[in-house]
Amino acid sequence: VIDPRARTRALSRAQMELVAGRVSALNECFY
Amino acid sequence: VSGELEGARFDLHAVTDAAAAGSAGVPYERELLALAEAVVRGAEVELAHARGKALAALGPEGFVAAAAVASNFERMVRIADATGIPLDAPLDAISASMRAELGIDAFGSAANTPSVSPARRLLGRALAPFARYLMPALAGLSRRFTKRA
Repeated sequence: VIDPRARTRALSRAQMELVAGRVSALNECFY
Repeated sequence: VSGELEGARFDLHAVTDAAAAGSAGVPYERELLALAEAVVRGAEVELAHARGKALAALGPEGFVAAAAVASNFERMVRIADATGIPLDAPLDAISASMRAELGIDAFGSAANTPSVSPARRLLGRALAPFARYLMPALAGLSRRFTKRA
């Protein structure tokens, strides 16, 4: 489980999750 | 959950619906979504175009981070699907409504996760407003468990 409060400098958490979520969805990954 | 912790609300439909790009409320979402799309489906020309747009919008550090996230999830989804990882409890119950709304339950790999019973679905709805508190707590427990192992 990853802490959703974790931050990086270059991208916000929301930006990272948008990219991750779209890549996962395009691959039809449920997890 | 992470959006709530940042004091914002995002439209998650952009994750599953390309037509919703631009409505999520995430900074530079069009460039980020175009990069994700090109990484997974694009030809070399489309990928080069998306890379250029993302680099111009996000700067070198942001672009590298976005490319790293996209690349990592290209790898990770294959592992998750190939090994048949189910969605953990209680996340399966808490996310049931959202998954149904976004159409994620129709993905083939959804078969790896047992369906959520009506009682657990109700419990998930009740717990969903507290996810912003539960997830950091679970992350802390996870870190402690990993250190001990």
